[in-house]
Order: sequence, then C-alpha cells, then structure tokens
Amino acid sequence: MSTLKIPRLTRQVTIKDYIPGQPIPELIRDPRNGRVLVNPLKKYVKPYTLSIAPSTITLAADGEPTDFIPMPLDGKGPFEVMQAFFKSQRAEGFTVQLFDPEHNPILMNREIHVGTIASGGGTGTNYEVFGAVGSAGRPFIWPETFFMNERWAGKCLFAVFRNLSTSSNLIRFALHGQKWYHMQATPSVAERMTAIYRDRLRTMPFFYTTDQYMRLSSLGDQEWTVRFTDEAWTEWSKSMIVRDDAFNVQILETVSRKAYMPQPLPDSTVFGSGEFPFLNWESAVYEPDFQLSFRSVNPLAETIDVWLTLGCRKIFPDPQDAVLLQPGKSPGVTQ
Amino acid sequence: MPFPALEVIRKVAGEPLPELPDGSPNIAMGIRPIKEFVKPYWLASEPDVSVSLGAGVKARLQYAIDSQGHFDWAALMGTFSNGPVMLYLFDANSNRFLSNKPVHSTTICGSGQRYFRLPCPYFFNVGDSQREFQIFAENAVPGVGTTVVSIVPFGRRFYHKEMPPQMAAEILRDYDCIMKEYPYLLVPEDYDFRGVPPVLAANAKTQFEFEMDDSADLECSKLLFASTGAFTFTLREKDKDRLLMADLVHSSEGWGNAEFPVYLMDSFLLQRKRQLIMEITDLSGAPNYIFATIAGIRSQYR
Repeated sequence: MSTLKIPRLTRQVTIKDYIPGQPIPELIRDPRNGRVLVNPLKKYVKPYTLSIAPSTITLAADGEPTDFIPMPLDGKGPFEVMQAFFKSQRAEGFTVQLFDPEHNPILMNREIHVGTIASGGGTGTNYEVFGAVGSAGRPFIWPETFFMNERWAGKCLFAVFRNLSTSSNLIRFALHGQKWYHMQATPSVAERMTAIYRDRLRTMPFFYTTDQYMRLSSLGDQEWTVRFTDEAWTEWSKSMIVRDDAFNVQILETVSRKAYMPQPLPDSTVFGSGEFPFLNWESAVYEPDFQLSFRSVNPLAETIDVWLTLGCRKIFPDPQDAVLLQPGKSPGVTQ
Repeated sequence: MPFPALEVIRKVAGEPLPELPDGSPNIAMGIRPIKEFVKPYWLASEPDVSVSLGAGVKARLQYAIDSQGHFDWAALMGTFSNGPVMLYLFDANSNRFLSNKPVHSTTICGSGQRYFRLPCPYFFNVGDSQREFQIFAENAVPGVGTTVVSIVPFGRRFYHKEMPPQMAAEILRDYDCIMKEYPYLLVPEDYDFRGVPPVLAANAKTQFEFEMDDSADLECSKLLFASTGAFTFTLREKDKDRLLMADLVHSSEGWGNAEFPVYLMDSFLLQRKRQLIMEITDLSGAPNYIFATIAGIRSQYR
C-alpha cells in the first residue's frame, strides 16, 4: 500500500459499517484480512422521506394549534431522521411540535418556528439571496440523527402545528433520512442493525427555545432563559432564529454570569437560519438542568417577535455507570 | 478541530473496566473532560459594538480578550448598513498584521449564517493578563457613503484557570507547536496603502502581482474578491512562468466571497519572495474596481 496517502487519490476505506449522521459507507474493509467488501448493510438501508398525512394541510387563520397530525411509520424497520423540510404558503410560516405515539412531547421543549429546524423558507445572507424554491438543496441537517427503532414500528409520529399568519396557510412538513429494512435483511444483518440502533439510545437530537415566548419590548433590555432538561447532558451545536427585525443579543450562563460575548452583538452574527444555521465552531456541553440566558437589547421603538432555537443533542447517562459521564470524576480519563 | 463530546473510556481509577461476561474487554462512552472548560465565544469591539464611518473616515476597533481564558479565533462576521469597508487586522500584543495591506470586508466578513472561516485558527494565549486585538476599518471603497459597521470575531474559549493544571498545560504545549503558522491574507502589491486597487478602464487589460514577503511562505487555500464588474483572469507563477489554468477564466468561476469562498482543490504554496501574477481583462464595459484577496496559512517553518 502507498505510504504517501495522497488526499483523494488513495482511497481510505473505513472498517466502520455505520457512522452516525452519514450515509452508510458503500465499501468497507474487513479488519480481519484487509479485504474490501461491499457493506452488507448497504443493501437494506435506503433513503426515505416521512411526511404528514395527508401531505398538505391547511392551517386555519385562528392561530390555534392543530390537532395531532399523524406521520405514519410502516413496520418494515427503523427510520433514522437526518433532515427536515417544509413549505408554507404564507411567509410568516408556522410553529411545530413533535410528539411520540403516546402523545408525549419529544425533540423540543415547546413549540418552535418551523423555519428554525427545517429548510424551506428561503433566506438571505450578507451578500446572497436564496429563494424558497430549491431550498431542498440546502437541507437543515439535525444536530444528531433521530433513530425511530422498533418501538415506533407501525406507529405514528405526531405533529402539532400553529399558523403564524392571519390568513389560512397551506403547508407541508417532511422528515428525510434513511430507512433500515431489517425485516427483509438476512438474520446476521438484522442483528447488526439491532445492535446499531441500541447503541444509539444514549443520544438524540433536541431543540430548545426560550422558556417564555420572546416578544422584545420597544427599546427594551430583557433577559430570556433556556433551561436544559434534567435527565441528560446537553451538547449545543447550532443556533437558528426567525424574527421580525434586527436586535442585539448577549449569551450568558445564568448562574455564573459567564458571558460568551463581552456585550450584546447583532443577532445576525450569533444566529443563522434553518437553511444556513449558525454553527458553533466548538460545541458546548452542559450538565443536566443547566440554564443559559439570552439578553436582548431592542434598538427600535417597536416590539419585535423572536423565535430562537438551539440545535442540541441530548446525551443520556450510561445506565451501567453514571460516574463515567461526569467530567473530572472519571478517573480513567483524567489520570 | 473541535473536540468531540464523547470519548471511549477503558479505565476507571486507573484500572481497566471489569470484563464482560463473555470475557471480552469492556469499554464505555463518557463525556470528554475538556468539554466542560471550552465554550463558544464572540469578541465585541469596545466601547461600542458598531461604529459609523463616513466616506474616507477611519476607525480603530479594539477587542479586549480578558484573562478568563485563551481565545482560539476561528471565524469572522460583520454587518454593514450601507456598503463595505477596508479592514486591516492587527494583533496588538504580537505587533503583527494579518495581511500585507487592508482587505475588502466582502472578502473576509461573513454572516452568522455563513461565517468566514479563517484558513486556520489564530490562538490568543492570554496567560495571566489580557490580550488586545484590533481592526483598522476605513471607509475607502469608492462610492460607499456613510456606513455603520460591526465586525465580530468568533471562536472558542479555553477557560484554562478552571481546568485541572495538567489539562491547561497540555493545551499550551499543543498550541506552542503551531504558533509558527497563522492565517494570513494577501492582496496585490499594486493596491494602494488603503488596499484600494487602481481602477481598470472599460474593456482594458492589466495585471496584479501577489508577492509573499521574505520571512514566511503562504499556503494559499481560498480565493476571494469583490468587484464592480465581471472580468476574466489568469493566474501565473512568475518565477516558472507557469499558468494555473489552460485559458482565460471568468471571475465568477474562479473567485468567491467571504460567505462562499472558492477553495482551491489543492492548496497552492506561494514561497517567500515569489510572485503570483493575475492578468485581468475587464468584461463589464465600465470602469472596474477589482478587490482580490488570497487567504492562506502563513508558515514560518523553513
């Protein structure tokens, strides 16, 4: 084998048959003998889109949440969500909250603006404008894939939407990812699939928004909190916003008052959109029940409505040994 | 590179984890200890985040990095109410400019949605004191009126005073190894001291010369530009008289901006005191200001 390892010329074939968040590798290297094989998983994992049923619905102009809208899953195997898309007839968009088959909320702490977790609204950056048409080419990639394992098979994911326009609004909402056809796979592949999704039980994506609805008062200087839930560690990696107008924002740790910027900065330098989210170059990890504050300074003599979302993943404790999850208390790591 | 949140744990209290019932070694996944002490961080100019620049006006934006933790700068963003400005980045404590001349803000200031990633991070070791970073901003771009500007560097903060001492020492040891390399921006020597190019007449031809100074090499990775009109260009190594393209290339096929830069498929090493010639032909049919910037890693290794 070449020792030069010229980028893009020497094909680096992985021995991993599954890498979270990435397409299933087509070729893998057998670690026992170095031979390159077609990944057996590849035959039974396919791209898949899960949409609401029916695929389009009209949200009433009353601003009330809808009933539970089903997103039915078939029983052929787990579905791993990686991306989200939406269409909205009205520019104001709508909110979304997702629920499990028992109608328990999952994935977000309260309703969030669809434009902060899904692509489809179009956007503008400093120097370019991107229309809503063609936005599927700019997917919102979730901070962690969401693995709906056999517990979900044959059941429904439920969505609740709320129209933010004063007119009726024809919408679509879909999740895209990959479907694991373990029912059709050979026993050894099915067993491997089961092992993979059982490994994934310790992490899941989660979208946090402020505990209270953010309506910035005219010329106001206010503080809004986001409290992470108490059952998992939280890793924050993406920040998105939809708002009426520009304002300044400062992020602080609520208790320690440690500030992530010396003073409030233009929100366009702290947040992105569903199509181009702001990426924390270094993700931040927080212990359970941690609280962040978002100080907003409104320079305008008018109220501003803000929908802010932090794209996170939850990391659940190892059920066998919670000590391992505590930094500084894992002697095997720090010694 | 950011630190992954999870890492494999094979030992607890210095002892391997108990074997699994089938006799195979046991491993667990735990949160990487350093993650507790590293957080995203934005710098803000002081005392004011925004500064208003009339035509021809210059201002110095000062960014203090307090002693709470080292700052590893990775990206740059900005907002401009009414047009771009020229920027000259300066590390005040090291007395080091990060470009040979001021550069056009469109070539290095992205937005929150698409920030400009430096070719490599720039590490501010605060030690026990504070560091100061400065940006000289000048409203020198022809045709731009008064504009309100905010420039925001973004990166990560190592809260080294809260870390276990061994971990803090490891960070400095690792960063000491890379201090001979830092991001650098190169503009043609033909531009004036404000970084403004000579105007190219309609349909005319000219050439600009990028030259690296005599103390470092530049590993060029991104081509960035702003112009008032389209043009075609070629790039040629002066010493070898070798072209980097077969024929004329349109500006939109060879140059990007801070948000969507053109990445060279393989980085180009511009050695010290070597020149890269950019030959240009205007296509716009009107006077054309072409601000070109090459971003790369300045390497002082020999």
